[in-house]
Amino acid sequence: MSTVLQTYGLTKAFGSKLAVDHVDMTIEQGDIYGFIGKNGAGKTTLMRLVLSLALPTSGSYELFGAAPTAQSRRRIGSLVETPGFYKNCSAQENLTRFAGLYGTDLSEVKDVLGLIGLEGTGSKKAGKFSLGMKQRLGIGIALLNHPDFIVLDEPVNGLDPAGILEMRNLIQSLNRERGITFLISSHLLDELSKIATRFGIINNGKLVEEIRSEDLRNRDGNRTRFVVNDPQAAREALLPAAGAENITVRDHALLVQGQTGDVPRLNRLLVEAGIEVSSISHENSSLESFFMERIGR
Amino acid sequence: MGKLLCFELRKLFRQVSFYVCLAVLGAVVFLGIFSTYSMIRLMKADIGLEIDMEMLESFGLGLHLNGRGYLLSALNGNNLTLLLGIFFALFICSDYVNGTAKNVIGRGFSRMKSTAAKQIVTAAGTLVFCLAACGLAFVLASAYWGVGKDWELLDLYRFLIQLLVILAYAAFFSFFAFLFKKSGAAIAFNIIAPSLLSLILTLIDIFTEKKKIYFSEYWLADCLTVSTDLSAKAAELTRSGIIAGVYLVVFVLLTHLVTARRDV
Repeated sequence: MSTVLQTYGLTKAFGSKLAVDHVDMTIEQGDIYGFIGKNGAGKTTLMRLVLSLALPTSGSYELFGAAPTAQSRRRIGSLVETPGFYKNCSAQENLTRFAGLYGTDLSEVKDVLGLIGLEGTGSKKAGKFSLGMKQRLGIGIALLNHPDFIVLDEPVNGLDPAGILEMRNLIQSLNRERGITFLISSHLLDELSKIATRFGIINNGKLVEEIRSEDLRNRDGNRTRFVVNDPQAAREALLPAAGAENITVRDHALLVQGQTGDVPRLNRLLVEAGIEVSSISHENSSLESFFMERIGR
Repeated sequence: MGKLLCFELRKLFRQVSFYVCLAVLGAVVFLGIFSTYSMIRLMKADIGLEIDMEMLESFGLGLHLNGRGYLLSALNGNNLTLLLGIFFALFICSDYVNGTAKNVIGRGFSRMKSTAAKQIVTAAGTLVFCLAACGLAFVLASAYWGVGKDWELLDLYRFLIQLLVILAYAAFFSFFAFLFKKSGAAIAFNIIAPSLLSLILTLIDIFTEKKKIYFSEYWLADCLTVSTDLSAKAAELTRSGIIAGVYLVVFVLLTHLVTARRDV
């Protein structure tokens, strides 16, 4: 799998404050990279560095496996901070202007308008659009000229639940059908956890951890919850199979860590020991708890 | 670069403020000429005063009162520079205010090329303003008083120097628009700065005891006054042209210096 973005000690200082502090980030082709961090952690600054909107104090980065060039930047679409468009122009005029600039066939404008659901806006000025429509127009501009990599900073900001769902579906379909790689920052961790294939956590400018979503699901925090009539007896029954360190008794439930693939066998052991199992559920470690843990809260 | 130029040109010619400023300029030119025409007509008709060239000279109108005169003096005064200051602040800052500069730089267009494209289109816009003002003044004045006689090659030189001075003004306004990035601040500065600078330089001249140099003569306002003076000689025009050229180059380079490594 080829690398779309690789940063090497990327650093950006504003005065004495390091907004981005020696970040080594890797984004592989096909990733939906969820970039999470508190306000002011450095997410937007890092995105701006990658897009050359800001220049690094030190460090470097590669795009598509090589030093960035004008050509490699043409392969990146972006929506950073607020969507950039001309408020006094219609959605179509905005897309037409940027299509001309990016060398995109003008016929693509109509396709993009349809894709972002703004085909019926006619001559309505973009400045009078709702927040969600503005956001979609920003995404539309980012989609022009078939980018291979899209950088989205808080793309669901201001969207209603239906808009969030549409955005999620759009990102997933673009990733699946066109193979577009995404770098997405969002405060809505639950939302991000539904689409991201990889996460990066940034805190005080430092990249604290990068983790694949399946690794996050399989890490220690993943556990199976058995609700039983006699938790102590259940614990005794499972000790040989699961190990004492992996079993926790809580109220009427038995929490077994790291055994997600072995649930049928554990259930059979409980039944054979005469224990009534009233429910079995899988508990994922939430992205939120993982994030809070990693930023030291 | 070609795509950037097309992008900026499309923006220029689709910007409502461009046509508003052109219309205002046209109205100012028209009102100026029409008021002169009306004043003379009223003096003739109502008072019965016979207007001859000598009298017009005493009003400072003698050389101007025909198509040629208005063509060559249409760029004089603060109206055009004021409108240019306002329009270029709006035009250049719009990309920063709307956030569209991110869509340009983020897609691999260099800061230098993006700035250069804006500067070239700014120059093109300036020429449109100048030609519109001069063209309208020439047509109206010719209709009222005739095209004018005594055309000479120096007129073309005079006109080109005027364009150079106005282009230097445009570079000056553009620089501050790039510097401030906010249209409000840039408009305010562009309105105040030229006259403030003139005032400061005049004060310096007044309070400088040993006058070998008059600083106010080295400011664009003086260059514009000289180049629109129909009695100015070629040497004076050349001097104004050189000063304007220096300002043009300095402000173009300063703009690139400001934008080269700045965050968008």
